[in-house]
Amino acid sequence: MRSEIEPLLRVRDLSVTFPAAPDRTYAVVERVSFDVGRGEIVGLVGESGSGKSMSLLSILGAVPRPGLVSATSLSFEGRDLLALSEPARRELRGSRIALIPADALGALDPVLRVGEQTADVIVDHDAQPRRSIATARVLEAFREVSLPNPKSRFRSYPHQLSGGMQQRVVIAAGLLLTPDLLLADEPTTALDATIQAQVLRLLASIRETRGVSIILVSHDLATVAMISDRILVMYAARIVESGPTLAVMSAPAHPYTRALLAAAPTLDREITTTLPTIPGAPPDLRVSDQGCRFRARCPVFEFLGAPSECVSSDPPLRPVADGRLAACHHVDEGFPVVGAGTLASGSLP
Amino acid sequence: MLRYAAIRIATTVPLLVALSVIAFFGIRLLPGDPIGAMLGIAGNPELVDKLRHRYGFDLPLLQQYVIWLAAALRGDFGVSVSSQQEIGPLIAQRFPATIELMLASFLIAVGIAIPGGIVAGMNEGGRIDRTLSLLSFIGLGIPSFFLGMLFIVVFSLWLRVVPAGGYQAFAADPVENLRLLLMPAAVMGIASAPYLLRLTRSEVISIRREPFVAYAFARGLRARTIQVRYILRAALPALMSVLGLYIGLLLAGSITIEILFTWPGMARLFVGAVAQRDYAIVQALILLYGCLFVVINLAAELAQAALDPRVRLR
Repeated sequence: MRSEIEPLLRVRDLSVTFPAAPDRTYAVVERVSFDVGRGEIVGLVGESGSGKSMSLLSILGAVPRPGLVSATSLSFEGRDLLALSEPARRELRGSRIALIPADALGALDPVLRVGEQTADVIVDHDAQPRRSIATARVLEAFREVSLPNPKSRFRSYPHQLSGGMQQRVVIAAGLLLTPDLLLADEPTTALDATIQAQVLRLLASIRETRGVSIILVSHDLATVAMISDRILVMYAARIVESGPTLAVMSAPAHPYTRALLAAAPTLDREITTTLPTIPGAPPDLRVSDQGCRFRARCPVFEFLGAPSECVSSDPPLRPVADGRLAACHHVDEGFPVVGAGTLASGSLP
Repeated sequence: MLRYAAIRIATTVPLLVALSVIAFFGIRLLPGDPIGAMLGIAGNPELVDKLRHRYGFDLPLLQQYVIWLAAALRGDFGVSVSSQQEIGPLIAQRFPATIELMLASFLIAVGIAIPGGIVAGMNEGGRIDRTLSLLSFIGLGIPSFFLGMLFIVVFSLWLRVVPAGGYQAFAADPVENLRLLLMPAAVMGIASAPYLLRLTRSEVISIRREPFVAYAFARGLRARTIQVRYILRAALPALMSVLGLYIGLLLAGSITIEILFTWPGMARLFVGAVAQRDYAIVQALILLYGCLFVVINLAAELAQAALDPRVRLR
């Protein structure tokens, strides 16, 4: 039964596994759960390889082979996505759920005109496609994302556009069939700072005007915080912290989130100080491990002298203050936000 | 595009000059000369000198080159020392047979290799791909003359369906012409198809891995749209330049096949002329083969540029 508060997207225990050896698999996304409400912007933050893009692809049904998607629930508008046939999922892809890719230049076919390839989405989702109508709608979408000179841009090839314009084209392409959910996979990483801000503002305004929900993926916490309502932090295939943006940003609960915040460059910091980094690298997901995956890089773990629970059990995601969830054994012990100095000291890679 | 075409055409000029130098001096690198080949080692020295003088072989090489090039530009390739025939008509008479054989084998090879390469590439690692890859791997190891002999043994000696060689002008008897064309063209086409198939396959595979194909899929485009409008369309420009080079391969390969099947093309003329040190014929043929290669590749490059806007930027 569908209740009033049924979210647009409901994800429970989503895992994506790849074969590591003939008899073994490893998870690049592991038991990830979250909801996306209508008109909500959810930020998904994590390092490269943390599983954020793969989470998006599994919602889209575009996980590359031989990846395997499983979930206790992956429902969109109350429909179980994993139960749908491939033709039915294709229908949803690009129409109800649309992807905005990170690398717009790579995503556009170099030998097709920008407008024509954009229009393909309409043609391929229409029972009786007509190019002329598709063209008109593409031009309209180009205008909506304030692409300058849409008519001549329609006839341009991808390499003839600037990076910002390319990004606007793929955003327009995502909006064409008025999707309910936009999956924005690092939509600003390829752009310089001023264009980044423009694109983020554009996404925020699209949400306002259309009421579309957005999952905004980024490795940059600050970017995500600018426009999202809620933030999910992923580390090594898991969500380690989630909660309302303001709460997460003002008082991060998980040591990893704190470290991410400390590592963010700010304009008011003294130029002379070294930018703090998180020492070490994420664990190899193919190696099975009972304990907390962040412990090798965790200042709290080090401070407490390698407590045994961090080594023996992976902390579950559990409620902390302000409607937040965090996956850390020592979240309640009130450690101060770990300063930059603490993190930067020690062995830097 | 016009600017690009103009630049490409202009850059072929030095290429053609270099080609004329190779055509002229290449054959002269071989020991001996036409007069020696004609009269033998025991030739009368006075007669040798007289003949050398008559054909201008006693002039400085550079001067000979300039005289030859100037005449060639007017379409006059001189006279064959061994047969005393004019070279222009001699070649013109054999040119159609060579071109016909090349075109027929090209069509056969393309007909096998392009669809095969596309199917293999689209099903990378699948059963069809593994089968085609194995076949093309075997094919690469079989030289065309061997395949030709195999065909002659099977189809001419055992089954007796086609003669082992020969030629009939198309104008005189079209059916007989095509019947005799079939075997040499099939051998040349089949022998060279594996090379083209592997290139096509790897091109399709590399395009399939492009992010724009993943994005096309993520946009929910139909499988057919992705395959035809995205993958094949993107593979087309590279295939054009592959085909250009491939025709060069056919040009070289046609010599063996023409000899094997007694096909009266330019190959026989060429081989005979080299043995006879018949400079004028060798020069004219090298120039002709070279020009064909240059022009075909120019056309391929222009086709590539027409299909890929990024090429025009270069």
